Amino acid sequence: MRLSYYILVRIVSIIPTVFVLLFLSFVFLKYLPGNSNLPIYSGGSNIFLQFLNYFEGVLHGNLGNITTNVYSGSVSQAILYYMPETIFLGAVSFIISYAIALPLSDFSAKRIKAPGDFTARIVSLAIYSLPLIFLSLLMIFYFPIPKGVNSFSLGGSAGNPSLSGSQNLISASWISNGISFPTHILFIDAIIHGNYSFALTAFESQILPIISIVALVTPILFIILRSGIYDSSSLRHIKLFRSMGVSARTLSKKHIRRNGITPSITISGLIIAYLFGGVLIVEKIFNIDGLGFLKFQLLFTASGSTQVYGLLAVILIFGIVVMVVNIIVDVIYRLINPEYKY
Amino acid sequence: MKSTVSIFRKPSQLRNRNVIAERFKDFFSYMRRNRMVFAGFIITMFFLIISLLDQVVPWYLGEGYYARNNLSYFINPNIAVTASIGPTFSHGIYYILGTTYHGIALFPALLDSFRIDVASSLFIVILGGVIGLIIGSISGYFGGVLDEILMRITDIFYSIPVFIMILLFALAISIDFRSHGIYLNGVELVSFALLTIWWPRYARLARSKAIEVKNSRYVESAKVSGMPGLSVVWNHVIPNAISPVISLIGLDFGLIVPIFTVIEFIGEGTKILQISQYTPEIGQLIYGGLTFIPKGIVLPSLIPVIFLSIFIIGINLFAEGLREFLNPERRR
Repeated sequence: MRLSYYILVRIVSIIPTVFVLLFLSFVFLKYLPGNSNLPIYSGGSNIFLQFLNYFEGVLHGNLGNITTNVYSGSVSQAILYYMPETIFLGAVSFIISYAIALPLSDFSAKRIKAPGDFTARIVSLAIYSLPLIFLSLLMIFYFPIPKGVNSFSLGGSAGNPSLSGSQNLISASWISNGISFPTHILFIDAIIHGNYSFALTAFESQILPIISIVALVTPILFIILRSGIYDSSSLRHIKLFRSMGVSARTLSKKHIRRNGITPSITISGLIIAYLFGGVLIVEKIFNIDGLGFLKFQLLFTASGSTQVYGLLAVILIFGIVVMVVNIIVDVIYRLINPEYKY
Repeated sequence: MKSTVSIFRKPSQLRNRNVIAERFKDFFSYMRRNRMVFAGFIITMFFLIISLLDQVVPWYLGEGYYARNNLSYFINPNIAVTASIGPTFSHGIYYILGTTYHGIALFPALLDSFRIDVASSLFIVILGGVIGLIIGSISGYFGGVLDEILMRITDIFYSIPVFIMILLFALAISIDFRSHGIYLNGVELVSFALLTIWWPRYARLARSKAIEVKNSRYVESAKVSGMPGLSVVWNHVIPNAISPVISLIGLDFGLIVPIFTVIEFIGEGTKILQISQYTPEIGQLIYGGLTFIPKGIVLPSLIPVIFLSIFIIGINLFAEGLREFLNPERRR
């Protein structure tokens, strides 16, 4: 199968998958207490017709309207507003995690079963086993704040009035209802509008959430990369190259690492999909206006048709993210390993 | 070729030997050479034993005011929050780790509540691992339309966010269970909810390994010699795909208990997800300790976290050893 044809088939297959995913969620959400009489469930005589009625709207981009404490309006607009912040946070955290995990696992795989390897593993597992909620709360109250940094420990976006030193900026012309324009990422928007001191504040407020996520993601990547690199160093062609006198540096860079990162690609895909879906607890604790925060609002403060429309939209967007990431993962596999056939 | 040696040998090859005993012997001699794996094994066994000890010898937590009676606060939690005592030797053995909310002594509470966490983690991770391994291996090996269908089903289950699934289970699916006469408590409901969305990650991992193995020479020669597809999967694909799945299983032990803590945290104000109000459980102990953090008292939450940490480090060291031991490419 040619690659372009394969990608096309996979992209087309998103639509039936999303159809089934939404239908299952639609049916289950009907059985939440008090939901069976909502307008969304009145489009036909049986539940399948009702769902077709809703899905027609989805295909036209009409996901319904929601009213929460922080946002009122159409769901698709809400996703557009809240998603960029989540993607920014997830992407930055993932890049930092990978940048830490790759050299560390190289270091560890070279000293396998030696003290350096033990230390790296034990420390990373110890950090990994701290629950995210514990780490975030602990950092909020105990993180050493450098002098001259005012909002370091608070976290949060423009919508959060407790962001100290920025009270006057909440009424800036490019921020309305806690959502900044045009990219909806506070840090980037502040740079676009030339307000560098506020950009610095926005950057500082992202440090603790990024640390929390990095502390969760790096150990996973490290453990998987380490075992991948270690396993690939005993492959036959690597042994051959070594006996032929290829230098350790070239061997590690060009041959061992390339084979070693393959198991981590699948895991990376899973992690990226998870991060882009919004890490609920980090966004809640640090008051970040992202998808996780929207999810929290929908799950625990909304009810009725707001909850149903909102949750269906969140499931839809997360499903699309998962499937797109999986397509990318499969394509990367195929590109780095020509033998990889389906 | 050494790679063709499978962990599931045919009974005909080993007619007169006890296969399982031999595998265990191999494993123990492997652990003798790898101290860290042995340490992980000891830690894991220690935690499993203390989690079961409660069932075997219920009196080991002692009787009288300082032990069991304190745990009854789990059952009747409507008591004003009392200040935490730090670790001390002056109140007797049960107070050596201090107390947490409701004046519960941490040491017996940790020992008593660990069973539920181990049980639910094992249920989710092991059952999810088995389901994911089978589906992923079959999907990756056979490929084509079957692969497309199985992987799209996997995508569907992976696409439901954790807390939405838990909410659906807690509020909608439990009603259906109840109408069939099945009553589940909060922890069991959350375990079922997590299981339904947990296996896809193992399926994807197993599939990527299966596709790698599929093109190797030993699988091709097995195919050419007329081995049926499913027995190629059983003899060659699963033994190879099991090793990355085991390292992810080890890591995933660290993700289950924090989910319980988070449910306590976000369910607190809303009363939607009350999972374990009446069940002692480590996630709840951590959550109870978190309420002291704003007051500057860290120990009530730090001690359960460290307790959990030791278990997770131990089980990961053990899983790493198991992974290496079961990896066919590594065996002599």
